Amino acid sequence: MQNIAAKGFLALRGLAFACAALLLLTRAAAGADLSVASSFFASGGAVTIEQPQGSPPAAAVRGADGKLLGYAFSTYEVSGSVGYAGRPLDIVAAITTEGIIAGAQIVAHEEPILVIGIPKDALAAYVKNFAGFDTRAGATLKPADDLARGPHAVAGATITSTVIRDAILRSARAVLRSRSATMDTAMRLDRETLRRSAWHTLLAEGAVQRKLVTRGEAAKLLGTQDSEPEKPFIDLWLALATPPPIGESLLGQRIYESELARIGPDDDLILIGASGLYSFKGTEWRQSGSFNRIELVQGGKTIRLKAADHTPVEALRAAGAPELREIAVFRVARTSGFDSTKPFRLDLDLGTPSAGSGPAVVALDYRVPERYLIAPPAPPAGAPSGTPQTASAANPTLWQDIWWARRFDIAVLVTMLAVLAGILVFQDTVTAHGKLYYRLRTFYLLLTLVFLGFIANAQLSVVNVLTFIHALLSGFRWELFLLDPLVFLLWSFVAVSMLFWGRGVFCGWLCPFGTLQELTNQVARRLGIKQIEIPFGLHERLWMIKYVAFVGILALSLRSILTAFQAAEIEPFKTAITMKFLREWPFVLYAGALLLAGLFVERFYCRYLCPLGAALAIPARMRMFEWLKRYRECGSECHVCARRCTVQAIHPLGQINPNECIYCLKCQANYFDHEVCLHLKKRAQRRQPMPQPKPIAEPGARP
Amino acid sequence: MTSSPLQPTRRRAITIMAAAAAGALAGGPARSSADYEWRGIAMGADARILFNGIERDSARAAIELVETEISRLEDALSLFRQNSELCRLNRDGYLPSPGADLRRALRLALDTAAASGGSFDPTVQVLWEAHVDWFTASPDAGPPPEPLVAQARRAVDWRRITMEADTISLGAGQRVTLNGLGQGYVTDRIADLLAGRGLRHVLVDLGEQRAIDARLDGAPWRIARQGQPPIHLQRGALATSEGDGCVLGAGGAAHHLFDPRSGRSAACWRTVSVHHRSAAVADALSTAFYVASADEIAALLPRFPGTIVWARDRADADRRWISGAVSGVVLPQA
Repeated sequence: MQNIAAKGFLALRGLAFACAALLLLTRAAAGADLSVASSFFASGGAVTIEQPQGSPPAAAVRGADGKLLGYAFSTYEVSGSVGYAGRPLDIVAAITTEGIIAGAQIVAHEEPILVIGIPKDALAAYVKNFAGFDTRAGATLKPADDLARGPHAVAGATITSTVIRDAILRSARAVLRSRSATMDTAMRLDRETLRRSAWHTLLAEGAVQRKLVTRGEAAKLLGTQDSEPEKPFIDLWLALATPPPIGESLLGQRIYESELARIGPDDDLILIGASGLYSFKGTEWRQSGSFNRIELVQGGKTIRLKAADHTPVEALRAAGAPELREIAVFRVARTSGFDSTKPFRLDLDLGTPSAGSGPAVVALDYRVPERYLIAPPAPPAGAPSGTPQTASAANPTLWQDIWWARRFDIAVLVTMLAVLAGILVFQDTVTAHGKLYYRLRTFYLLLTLVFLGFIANAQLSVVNVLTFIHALLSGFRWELFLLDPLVFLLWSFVAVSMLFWGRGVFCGWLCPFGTLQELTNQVARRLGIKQIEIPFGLHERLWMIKYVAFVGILALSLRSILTAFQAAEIEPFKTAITMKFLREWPFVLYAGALLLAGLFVERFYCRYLCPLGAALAIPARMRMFEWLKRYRECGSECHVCARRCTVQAIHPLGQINPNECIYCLKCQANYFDHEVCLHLKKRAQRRQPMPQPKPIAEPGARP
Repeated sequence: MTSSPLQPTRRRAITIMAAAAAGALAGGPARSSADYEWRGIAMGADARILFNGIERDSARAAIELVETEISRLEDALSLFRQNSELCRLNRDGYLPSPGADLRRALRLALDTAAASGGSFDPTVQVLWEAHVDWFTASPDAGPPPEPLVAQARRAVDWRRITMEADTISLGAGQRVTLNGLGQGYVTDRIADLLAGRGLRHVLVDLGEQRAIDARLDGAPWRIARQGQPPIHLQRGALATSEGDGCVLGAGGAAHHLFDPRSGRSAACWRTVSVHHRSAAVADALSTAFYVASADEIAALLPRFPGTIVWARDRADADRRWISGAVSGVVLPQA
């Protein structure tokens, strides 16, 4: 499903890359000002915040007497926290030496969910709530449901609140772990999680480290001369290949698994590769059985690499990996003292220096990225609350906790989607039973509005599209999208349905604001409000507005995603659905005006303004099925469907414009309705005088 | 033998004065201009590292690395660790599967021995042990008698050390010391480690001094020498050999720097200082030149480009030689 979802956005991605080529991505990268952290400590202004130091960077906070109170840090600098938008989310927080969060404050974010509709003070209050939170393992064991949802001070911001939680707690633990020995609980290497990573991903996350030694640098160390100092002497790569996402991606499944079979459960695989003039293996090992040029160093331990523990590798399998002259995977036993969760380095001897040169060694440092480490399970602590769920809450697999916590919402949504898929697949049968269809549709719309909209807050938005495009541009991470299960499932469904039937499936069935308009319009009709019919020529031209709006917002997002999110306020979704009109009056006025217009022109907003509809209509041009049926008379003799069409997507000449169609299936209900459809009426008239033994099946001609 | 009560380290009367006010050392809270000094022990000698223009926590993090790395290198090279690779080599006469650092240090020692025409030899450890035994038994006596020295000298010959791909073996009765360059070697490794962490304004002083770079304000590190003008070190290393640094016998009849050719403590110079990019090379050369005559130094020096040698003889006359293009030292006005 994930792959299909991604494919559905291919067209979007192409568009985004084209735009990216035109506009430079800008990114605020200035370090956060940690001085705000002084207010987190009880003694107020009396504390001093030192300069941030070390790795991960954190500033010591001292009281007036010079006593160390804790550490202040920026979550972005410590854990590279990104928000749902895939952009920096920076929270300045401080943790006491006891592991209690002293305070936290958002200093920078570009969060769509935050920007749209969450009052600033509510957000500040939410983040402030973290003060007093005990980060120590096992100190505050809460039921998993609570942990996954976090302090719920901000309505409708669940994604961001979990991201904020994650950023604060992960960073705080990282800072304290690195600063105090008492917090130093043994991390464990994640040897289970399966994932394929491309070369650039591994490089970006630091799973592969590189050291380039030019011939000039080597000559300097060896006390020799080189005529081509710019060329590489050795271009060395190093990776801990034990975790499947690193090892399997780099070695390929076959070699990875055969190597894995040769080591114990606590042993490790280390991959070394190089190109250039110099061989890291040399030739002596063939006789001596040990490699003399390379050596692993970890703390005070030196680990020699033996010929018997290595396997030469032909090529790296990760997508985008360079061709290397020499690759080998080394099996390193735990008994050698090697601990893959701790930093280590590879010392490479550059060969025998000329007399009068010092040691010619280069070091390549390595530390397995934190995502490959698993925090130790919470200690039993004798408390009966230690259920497996609470233990898993401490794990970094945040999204799994969220999915579990929202399992009931997910079940309802999956049922809804299954029903909708049924309606679409068996659309002829459904629409042939007119009454059933109308009831089913009204019920479904109500469900979408009440459950998806008001209860689950699962209103898709053009912001999601922007987020997705930007995630593709700046390193895609599934975890980010998995954080909101409903939105994730909805998008996956929309992507597939878009490929099958076009964009209308979402707009006509799953968009809470769309259903709100349609339902209010139906009420208005019942009350006898006269509908305004817009001349088709004008109607057709008004369509352009939404495409312009989408392209404009997309272009803006490449310049500044924050501005784009503000521009995305053209969508009244947040006001009407997420915030339920509890918002500043201009927003309420705007959304109200759109709904009012919708009373006279059905789905007024969908027709002309919706950038999300436009965003979906563009890739939906790839759709595969044309299942909407028409008769030959449609458009020439009869315009009933065209007049009844929810969004006037039927051309006066009879054809349905799939870019505008919201797939409500009303025209299909008409198609089978003997009291509405002219074609059927005519046929009935023709047949009436002659008694028919049995009706001839109508083959369903297409235009 | 290796656990002799005397420590054969050259305790030199060298102090390093920061070019800036030394008061900054005692200073209070972390400021970017403050100096931090670490004191410890490396290879059996006092060790210090001076940090300039570095935050305290960075220095502290660096020191953690340095301490483990020194300990690791001592496990390979130190005579003061019972089970170091070097001690095991001396005890067993051979060492299977030696680590890269021992191989490199020994390779450097053998290369220097080959290039120095016999004035440097890592196998002089037996001479040291013979002298120590002699003076332990009779502290007030003169130098050990010729037969004793001659017997010890039979084990002194670096050519009998064989370094194979995965084994080092010694000749019969041979024992190796890396004290002629071991401190310099460790100095180089530590300096490279710190430089690799991005630290620049650091002086590593593990018996030999090596400046990664000048101080933050560009001022060089001033290496003071007793009775001689200080040497201004901007980059690179300075190693000094001084017989009086470790004297044997009550009357100062001998010291720790032996001439491998005679088997006796060298008597030509009072002190020899060598500047070179590498502390290991500077250390080895200062040891080699200490036992060499002025003519020998002049003859040997061209083989080691980038070297400055300062020597003061027993008559307190100063000599200086320079080989090739030298950088890193601000030469005092002649």
